[in-house]
Amino acid sequence: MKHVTERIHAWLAGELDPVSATDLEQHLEQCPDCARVARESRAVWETLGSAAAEDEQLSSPSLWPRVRARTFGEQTGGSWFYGPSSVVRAGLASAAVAAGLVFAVMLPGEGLNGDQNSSDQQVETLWLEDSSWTSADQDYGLDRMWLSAGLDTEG
Amino acid sequence: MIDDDVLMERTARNEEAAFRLLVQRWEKEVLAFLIHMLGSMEEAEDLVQDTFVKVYHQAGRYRPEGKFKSWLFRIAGNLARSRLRRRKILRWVRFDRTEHDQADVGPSPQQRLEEKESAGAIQKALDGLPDRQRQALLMHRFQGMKYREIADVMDTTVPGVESLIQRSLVGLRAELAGKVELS
Ligand SMILES: [Zn+2]
Repeated sequence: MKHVTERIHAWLAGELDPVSATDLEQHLEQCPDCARVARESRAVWETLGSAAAEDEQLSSPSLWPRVRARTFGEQTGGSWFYGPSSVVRAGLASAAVAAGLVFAVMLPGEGLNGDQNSSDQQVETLWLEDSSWTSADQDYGLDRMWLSAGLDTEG
Repeated sequence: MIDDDVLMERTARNEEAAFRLLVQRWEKEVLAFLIHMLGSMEEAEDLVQDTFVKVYHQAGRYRPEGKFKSWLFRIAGNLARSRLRRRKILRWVRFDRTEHDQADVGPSPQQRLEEKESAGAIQKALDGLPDRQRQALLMHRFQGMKYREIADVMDTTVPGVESLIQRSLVGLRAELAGKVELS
């Protein structure tokens, strides 16, 4: 008898095809060990579901004004000089674009529609590109951290 | 409701109203995801902004194929994992900024959330998971994404996602046993 603990979450998630789901359910009826794991997993699963439902009550003022200040706010002049971190960021972004690093990461065609059987080579490349963004973000983040230690850049 | 793809197209043409609609439509969901990823309201708000600034700058490269949510969460997820890596490094070299900054700003929604004992236990258990496991689990259970979508977002396969979520559940079962009411 092959145990089914490895697939219980997929069953809970509704990600099993009907035949596999029926097989799994039959196994649960006969195997107390897997049935116990299934009960515990289901409890965790439902606890997470309630936590997710609590997110609905999350109330927080819209971040649009701050996002606007870093995007459209920059274009309308004036605030240009008050947003050094955004300028640094834009510089990093364009440098990365110039180096052709960001393209595959951000392009849905590559990652989002990518062939299921993409080779290890491709995956490796994506990760490299990912980390190139990462280092830019890290530099930017550190930079801004220093700034925010001294002044409030968020306005 | 105007389609996300249409809004992205207009954002790429620099239409502020379209971008605003997009931000206001998605910010709450991205914020919730990032709060659970980072365990910090302040950092989550920070990265929500970074996420949308990136959306704006990359709008011209976006392909309108009806997968805006995946694209958005790919950006948010990558930023979150970068932040988590940085946090681990900073912990070695400097004080942890979040602990100090949160001291006197009053209860944030996240803190209010954690006042509820079980919610606190859940977040603590989530915090203890490896970053990729947590990301996959949150995207599925909290953001309602299918394994296929998550695989796309995380550059892995459907079995890869299954494995991440399976391991995350094993971790959570161990961590939450006896701490929350597991009926
Ligand atoms: Zn069994």
